[in-house]
Formats: sequence, C-alpha cells, structure tokens
Amino acid sequence: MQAPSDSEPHASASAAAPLRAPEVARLREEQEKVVTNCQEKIQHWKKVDNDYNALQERLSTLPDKLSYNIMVPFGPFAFMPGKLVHTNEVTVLLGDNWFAKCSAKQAVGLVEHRKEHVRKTIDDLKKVMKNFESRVEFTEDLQKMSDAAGDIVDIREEIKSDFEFKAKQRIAHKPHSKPKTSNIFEANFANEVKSGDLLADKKLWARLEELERQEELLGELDSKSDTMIVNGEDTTSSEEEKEDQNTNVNVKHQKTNSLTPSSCHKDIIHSELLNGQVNSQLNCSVNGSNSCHSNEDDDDNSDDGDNENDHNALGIGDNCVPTIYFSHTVEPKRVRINTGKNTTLKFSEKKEEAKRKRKNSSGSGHSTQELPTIRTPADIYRVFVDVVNGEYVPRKSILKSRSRENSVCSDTSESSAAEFDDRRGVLRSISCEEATCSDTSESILEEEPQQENHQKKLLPLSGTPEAFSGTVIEKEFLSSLTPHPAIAHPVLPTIPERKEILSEVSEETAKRVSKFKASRLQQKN
Amino acid sequence: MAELIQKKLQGEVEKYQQLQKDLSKSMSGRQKLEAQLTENNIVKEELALLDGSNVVFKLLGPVLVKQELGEARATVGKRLDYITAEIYLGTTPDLEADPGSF
Repeated sequence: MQAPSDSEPHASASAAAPLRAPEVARLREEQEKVVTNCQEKIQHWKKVDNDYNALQERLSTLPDKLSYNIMVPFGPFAFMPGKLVHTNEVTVLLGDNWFAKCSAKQAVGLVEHRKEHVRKTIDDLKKVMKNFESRVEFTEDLQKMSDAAGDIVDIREEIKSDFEFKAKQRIAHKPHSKPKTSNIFEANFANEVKSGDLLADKKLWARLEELERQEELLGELDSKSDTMIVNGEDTTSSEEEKEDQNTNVNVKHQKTNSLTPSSCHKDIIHSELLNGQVNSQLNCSVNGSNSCHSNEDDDDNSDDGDNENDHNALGIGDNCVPTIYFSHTVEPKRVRINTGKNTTLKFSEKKEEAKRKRKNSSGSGHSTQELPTIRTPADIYRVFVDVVNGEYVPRKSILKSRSRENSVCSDTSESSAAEFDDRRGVLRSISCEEATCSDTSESILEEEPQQENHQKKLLPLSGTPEAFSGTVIEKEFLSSLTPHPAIAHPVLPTIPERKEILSEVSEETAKRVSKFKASRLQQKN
Repeated sequence: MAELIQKKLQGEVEKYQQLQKDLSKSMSGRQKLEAQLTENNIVKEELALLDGSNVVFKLLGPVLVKQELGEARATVGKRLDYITAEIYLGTTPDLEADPGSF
C-alpha cells in the first residue's frame, strides 16, 4: 500500500507546487485507508475477546447445577423444552478439527489461553494503526505546507543514470604487469611475415576499418604513443596502434631484407609508425602508385626511419612511376600528396579521406577536417599542411628548425643518427663557409621554394634509376653541395631572425639535396 | 509496424496479468498456511494444558473419533512441521484437500 502512494508524488507532472497537492492528498487517503482497516480489525478482535469473556462466565456458572431446564433451539424457528445435563463436561474445539472433552474449569483455562492469543493480535493491530496514524499526520503537515506554498520548498536531486562511461578511457594496469607484450608480438610478426601473401586491397581496407573501429572503442591512440606493437596476426586492434617503434623498426628491417613488401601488408597497417614507411613499400608493390603518407609520422620516427625510407625508394624504383617516395621523410609527404592516388594506407581511413578531400579541394578542406581527424601527433603533421605553389607542403615543426639542429638536442626529426651527424657536420662546415653569405640569404630565400620545386621534380628522376642504400657520406654531401651553393646554405644559425621560416625550407632542401645528391653520386660512382 | 508493437504490448500485458494471478494465488495460499500454522500452534498449546483425564476427539467428516492425548499431540506436531515446511518451500498445498485434518 505504501508503494503506490509513495510513487504518486514522483509520477505526477504537475509543476506548480513543489509538493504536488493532489499526490499528497492521495497519499493521505491511502494512509487513512490503512488506518481504518486496522481499526476494523481491532474492533473485530475486541468483539472476540468479549465473547470469550462471556463464555468464561458461562462456564464458571454452568457446573453450579447438575441440570438445567432450557428451551433447546430446534432449527431456526423452533424451540423445544429440554435439559442441559453433564454440566461439567465440555467438549472443546481445539482447532483444526480437534476436540477435547474437558471439565468446565479446564475449559475456562483453555479459553483463557485463547484470550491471550487474541489480546496479542489486538496489540499488534494497535501498533500498526498507531504507525499509520503518525504517517497520516505527516502527510497532513505536507499538505498544509504545500497549500501554504510559501517558503517551504521541496529539495530534489535527479540522478542521471544515463551518464555512460566511455569504454576504457584509461586502463589501470596492475602494478607489476606489463600493459603490452611487445616481445611476443615481434616474434609473431616475423612468422607472419614469412607466411604472408599478397592481400587484396579491399581486404586491407576492411581490415583497416575494423581496426579503426576497435581503436575508437579502446581509445588508446592518444594515451599510448610511445610504444608500438607490431602484431603479425591482425588480432590486436587498439594495441596495434601503440607499437614499439623499436620493434617496428626491427621487424621492418627483417621484412625489407627478406620479403616482399606486400607480405607485410597486414601487419604493417596496424602500426602507426610503419604505416607510413611500410605502406609505401606495400603500395609500391600493390598499386604501384602508392604514396608514403605515413611518412608524416616519420617526423617523430626513430633513427631508422630514414633507412626505411630508403627502402621505400627501393620498392618505388621498381614499381612506382610517378612519384617520389623518396627516402626523405619530408619529401615523401609532399610527393605523396601530389600523386594522390592511394594516399593513405595509413592506420586510419579517416585520414585518408581527409587527404583525399584535401586533394580534391586543393587546400580548402584544410580547416574543416582538422578537428575530427587529429588523434595522434602524426595527425597534426598530416593536417597542418601549407599550400605552396599549388602543392601541399607539410608544415615543418619548430622542432625541426635549423637552430635546433645545431643545438645540442638530438632527435629533432626524422633524422637518423648518422644522417643527423652528417647534416650537422655539413651545416657546420657550411656555416663556416657561408658565414659571409648572410647577406645573400634573403635572395636565396626566395629561390628556395623554387629550388624545392625543382628538387621535387628532380627527385622522381633520381628515384627511378637505382636503389638508394640510404647511407649518405659526408664527403659526397659536401661535394654535392658545392654545385649548389645557394640552395642549402642560406639559412644558418647565423641568421637567427629567419630561422624558423628559412630553416624549414632550407632543411628540406638540404635534406633533399643530401639524399638526392648522394644517390646521384652513387649512380655516378 | 504499429500493429506489431500493439501485439507485442498485448502479449506483455497478458504475461503481466498471468503473473499477477500467480502472485495472488501464492499470496492466498501463503495466508492460509499461515492461518493453519497459528491454529495448530494454539491446538498444541491447549493439548499441553490438558491432562490424561480428558478425552480427545478428532473430527473426521461427521464422526468424532476418539484419539489419545499423546497421539493427538504427536499428530499435531507433525502437522505443524508439515506446514512450516510448506511455507519455507513457498509452495501452496492443496487448499481444499487438507490431508492433516481428515
């Protein structure tokens, strides 16, 4: 009875009074019903008690006489004179069809026992009634308050149960347990690679989509960017995005050495790092026109990134005609976008779409797609792209400025240790040479973009003829630089003002020149 | 589409009604059991009050059958146990046919 009455106040939609007068009235009614019910029962039991009392009395007086002359009822309308004998023998109904013959006094005792029971019942009922009477009082007070509708306000707090926690925004790992088992995956990857076959593009796409969905579910992209696991079996989803760079690199080397790039399809796709690097290989083998989009990520790649890029050149030379997936991390970005065919075999298809859109819109979709697609640092590089001469030029991060290169810090960009040192050495040497060329830097600056374009066009040519081993010898670099003095040198730490602007461009040119020239030189050699 | 939903709703409503009937049956059965329990408790206590001079009868149909006091007490005790077991199980015995009483 309480449940429906209690639900009343909450169910109603009437807004005016906070206490909702009709519901309160209903509550009161229900409570009063209970009270009246209790009262009725109590009355009933009181009657029973009275009856027992009368019975006791009768029993006490009955044995006074041996026999009584009475009018015996005969049916509903007739009586007959008779005698009441054996006045002391009483057959008592004990209950449940049990009878006992007792004396009058024993019967009195039984009756007394029953009366005890009755009294108990009455007491219980009285308690219930009292309880409900107090409730009624309270409800009356509520009603009065609601009628007054003045200062008293009902305080309510709605608990929104529809607040859902996103799945696994943070995973709390046990204190001494490894969240990822990278070593194991590495082994699997190797095995997988050996047994891998050429996969259809659609399979790849489907797999990518699935992985993407899994990624979203697990949401681990942002949290774990340090470790990347290469899973050769395509089983892991979110974790695949977080892969050990080292493992990826190692695996990649294995792959490049032993197997065709296409075999790495499955596995590579899962890795953020590898995607850019390996995909280029894959694309080369599969489509022949693939771009090394993933190289966007190479900005943060480890030292081996450049080497892998070099490997890209290998594949490219064989299959790809149009572009320049050239080993350089920066170049491929540009080139990739230019070619624009299967731009992304990146880890996320959304990025691909964004790229396509960007290509289609020729830079117009830049701002609109930034927000949704950025999930990893690599995305930023991919998204923040400048348009230079109608072509997409990835914005160089300030971390890659010349000033930083010459500073003590290492791993400023995609640089491998060797190349970095080479560059450094080169730069230093150049700086020495070009210390006096600061005046010419301005003019050179203008030339640089042009140079870059030239470089772009030149690169494909260089890409096709031979495979670039990826090693750049300092001597060659210097020698290669000499014919193009204006290109690489203008921006140097000596001109701190233009560092950021020029350094990016010059870096690109310098790098481009370095590898390109190196390859040329190797050709010659 | 609306018809489907309506049919579903109808089915659900019927289920609910059935459940309600079952519930009321169970409730009534339970109440009867409880009543019998209290009654038999009283009988047991009153039998305890009696002594050997009293003759105890059991009503079986129109017949009052003589019973011994001890036997009566035992029978009532067994009946009590039976009723408590029934209550504990939550099942209702045949409300019409009462094996203990006949």
